[in-house]
Amino acid sequence: MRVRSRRLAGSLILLAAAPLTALEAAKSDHELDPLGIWACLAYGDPVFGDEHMLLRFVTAGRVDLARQTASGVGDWTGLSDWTVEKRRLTFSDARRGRRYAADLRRSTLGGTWTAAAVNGGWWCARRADAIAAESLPLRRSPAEFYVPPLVLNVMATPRYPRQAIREAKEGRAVVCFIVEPSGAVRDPEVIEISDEIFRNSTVVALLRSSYRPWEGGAAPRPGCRSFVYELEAAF
Amino acid sequence: MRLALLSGLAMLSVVSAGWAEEHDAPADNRTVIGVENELLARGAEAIRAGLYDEGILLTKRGLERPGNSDQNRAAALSNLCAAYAGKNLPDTAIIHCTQSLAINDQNWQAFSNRSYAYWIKGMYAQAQSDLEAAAALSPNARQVAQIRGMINEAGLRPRITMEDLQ
Repeated sequence: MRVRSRRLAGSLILLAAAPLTALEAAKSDHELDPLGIWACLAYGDPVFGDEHMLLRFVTAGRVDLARQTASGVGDWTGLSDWTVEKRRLTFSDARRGRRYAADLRRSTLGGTWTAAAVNGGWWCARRADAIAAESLPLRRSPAEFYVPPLVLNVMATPRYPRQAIREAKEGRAVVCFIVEPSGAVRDPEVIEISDEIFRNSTVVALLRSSYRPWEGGAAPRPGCRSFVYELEAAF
Repeated sequence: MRLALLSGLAMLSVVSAGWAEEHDAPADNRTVIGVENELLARGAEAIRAGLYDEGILLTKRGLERPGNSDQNRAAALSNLCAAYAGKNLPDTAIIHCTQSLAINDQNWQAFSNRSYAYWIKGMYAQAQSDLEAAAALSPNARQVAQIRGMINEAGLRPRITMEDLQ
């Protein structure tokens, strides 16, 4: 097994949401409230790579974005208005030429983005310190929401499903999740999977992984991980 | 576990005796031995039941009888191949399967049995080659899928690459 740490390039031409499981179907009455500030990760862009950003949804229908880099967090910039139709949230980022969409039946904010020639995904964790719409800290600088990058503590390797080997099946999965300040991983959601045979081993390995704990702010963070299952002929 | 699997596969690969004609599912392309040679039919049944020594004895005696058609001889040799594979004697099995295929190279069970014998010997490339021949003749045969799984399990090395997106 090998672990590749490079960033994911634009290979994610993906992201039709995986078919609903029974559990997900049972939660279909749930509708996520996007109001508030979210720490988000957008991935899949071959030029920009993985991008950390803050998104701020306010009651007026406006959404603001602040990009996070290694040196800090930029200022809020306004994006398009956000709209919700049939539990599907959409908004646009004209500067990147992207149109974002999210299924509000999910456990946390995230979904797909599309641009002229490339698609990708995005995933967010709610900032616990800015939930209520009435108390949105509109005047607070985004720098106040800065959190350092996640540092891996344990990256558990999945077991390749035996039946998949027998059937010579290869595939891939992308899972997004929330990382607690303790470093623990929770709420994994499989957002892309080529074959259900890989679901269990992927999620089990992910939940055995952990990140280095962090202090200050104590807000959970979003993360995503891709798993590529391949077979090589040994004879 | 492995022994159980061995006998199971060997049984599955045995060429059926005459009664198969009475059933309405020739889709698995079983070769039918005529009832004119009772020893071959009884040998097939014994091998199917996992009684390999008895099946081998009956089948060999049946082969010694005059008047066997080429088709029956090929089927009986394939049955011997299955029995020896079931006894974990792959070299002997391969000899009989090869003799069977020299008479009738359209018998998918003989290819399947020989593939299984090669698998026992760890000769996965040869096993794969015979399995492809069996699959070409009978794509939906259950034991072809079983052996394919065994070959894959032995011959494919898994690799998992993970990337954190952040």
